[in-house]
Amino acid sequence: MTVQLKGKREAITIRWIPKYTFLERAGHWLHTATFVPLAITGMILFFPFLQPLAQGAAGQFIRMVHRIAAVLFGLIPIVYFIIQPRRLLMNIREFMFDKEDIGWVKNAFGYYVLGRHGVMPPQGRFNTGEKMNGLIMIVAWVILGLSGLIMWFAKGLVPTGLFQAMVIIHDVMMIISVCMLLVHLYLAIAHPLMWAGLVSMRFGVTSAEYAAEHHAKWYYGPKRAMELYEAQKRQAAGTEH
Amino acid sequence: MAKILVVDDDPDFINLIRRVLRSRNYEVLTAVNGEAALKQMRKEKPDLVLLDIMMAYILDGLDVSREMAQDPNLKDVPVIMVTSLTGAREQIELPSDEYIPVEDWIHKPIDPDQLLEQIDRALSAPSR
Repeated sequence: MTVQLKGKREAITIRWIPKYTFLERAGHWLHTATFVPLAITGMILFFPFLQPLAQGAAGQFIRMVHRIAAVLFGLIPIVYFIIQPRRLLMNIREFMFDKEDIGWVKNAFGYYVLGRHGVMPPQGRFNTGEKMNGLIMIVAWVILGLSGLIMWFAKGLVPTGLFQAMVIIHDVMMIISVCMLLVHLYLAIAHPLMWAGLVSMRFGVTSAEYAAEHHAKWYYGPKRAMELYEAQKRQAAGTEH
Repeated sequence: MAKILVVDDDPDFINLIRRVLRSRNYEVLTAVNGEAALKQMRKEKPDLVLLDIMMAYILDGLDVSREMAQDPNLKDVPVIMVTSLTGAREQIELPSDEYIPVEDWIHKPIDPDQLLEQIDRALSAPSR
């Protein structure tokens, strides 16, 4: 993307697009820094083969770490909402699913796992995978928070059946969110087509070329992105025949 | 006094620029995205446009600039790009159709004195 300054032999080429604010990046890394100890201590308390580690003074320490990390994990999104409410609402709008997400899901396995570089439906600032990760993390934040609070403060105050249900829900949600974390880690660190995700979460920007290719609706706008997508599909179909 | 259209999706930035421009008695019009900006310009032609690049989507501002250049009624309106996008200035040999011409370029966060100086320069320059 290049802008020419009139009357000068000089142009400005846009190379980097801001994707995340400093607060968003700080929030992401603080959330990671609290989620990892939460997951590790949670798994020690959950898996029977790890439970010897949760006995006696070590067990008390593990429970304390789990609760401190849980409080911080719960507070970070609230602090973000208080400081940047408009930005949070914008992010929520951009996390909404649309019909292109169905096409992305259908083609994602071939594109990202099997390396079939076909035509992918244009994506907004967040692609479908990022939206699914975000959705699971939001659901996990709510469910782990509510069930955790009941397990922490309401033992004996709520019916036994409800308490036991909260324990099971907490455990299931922990397993789902840890699985999602592992997928997220693999994509961010190891996957060759996802390198820009880590760059943008580290420096706040993504390259213009990457945005144009992987986030076409965000880059070109929905109308032009769909026109380009249809043209690419026609070209791909022509090549096949 | 000259009429300036400020196009930006950040209401805080619009308010700041409005105060800066009114201190010099400019008349200020506003729009929050490219589509609204073009509608506003066709209703009431401004003397200059301060145009953010990245609004509803990344190229929103550049599409406005491109459309203005193709509109006989708007092609003579000077444009100053106001953006937080990071760019590199470089010499060019032959501009192609992909090069979007603008009068000037200013980075956010803006320096009000510099902005006013650039506006004066753009308004006094010969039209497109």
